[in-house]
Amino acid sequence: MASLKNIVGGELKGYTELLQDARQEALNRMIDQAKQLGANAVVNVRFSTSSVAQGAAELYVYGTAVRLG
Amino acid sequence: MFDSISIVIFGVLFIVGYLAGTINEKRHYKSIKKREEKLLSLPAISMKRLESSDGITKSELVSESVVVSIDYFKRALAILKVLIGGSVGPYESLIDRARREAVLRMKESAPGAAIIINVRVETSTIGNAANSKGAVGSVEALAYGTAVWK
Repeated sequence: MASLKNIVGGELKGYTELLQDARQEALNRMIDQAKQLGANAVVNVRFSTSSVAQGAAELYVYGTAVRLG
Repeated sequence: MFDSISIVIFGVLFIVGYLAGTINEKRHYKSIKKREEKLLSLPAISMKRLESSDGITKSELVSESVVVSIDYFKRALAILKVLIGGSVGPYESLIDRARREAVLRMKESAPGAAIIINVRVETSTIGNAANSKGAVGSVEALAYGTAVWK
């Protein structure tokens, strides 16, 4: 499907969904980590992507865990 | 014999890529412009904070992304461009489309918001370099920020 789209161009919906799922997973892990640290909010969140190997990408989410209140 | 077949295949892909890619891009730009006009009332700015925090009812992280692929014709054109140097036009429009689409989707994911602050746009290539053989020539654009409701 992706190779067909490579001929005609346009959005690769499968890839969009795949990356969104992966990013959500990274976000969830960050939130879990923040909870473990006793935080109740994460501020200044940044997303970053890097291609690790052929056909694989790393989705990296980081921020500052804080306790408000 | 074998060579003439591969030339024919290249020619067919070249033409199909040109026609479908051009139609695709025109349609995409039309939709982008229409939606941008519709969402003008929701500004997305890169500033970190608002002047005052009065009346804010809710704020939330919003992020949306899109992966756009280049077509066969543009890729062939880009390879030629790399040989002679200069700005690579075919890629510029591809990345422009991806970024604007990502920002639009981010705005659409925050219905009723007054403003989106601290917006960042991130671009990355998926898979291999876009002009290498057999690789998926595509870019991902991710837009994220803090949506503020007033």
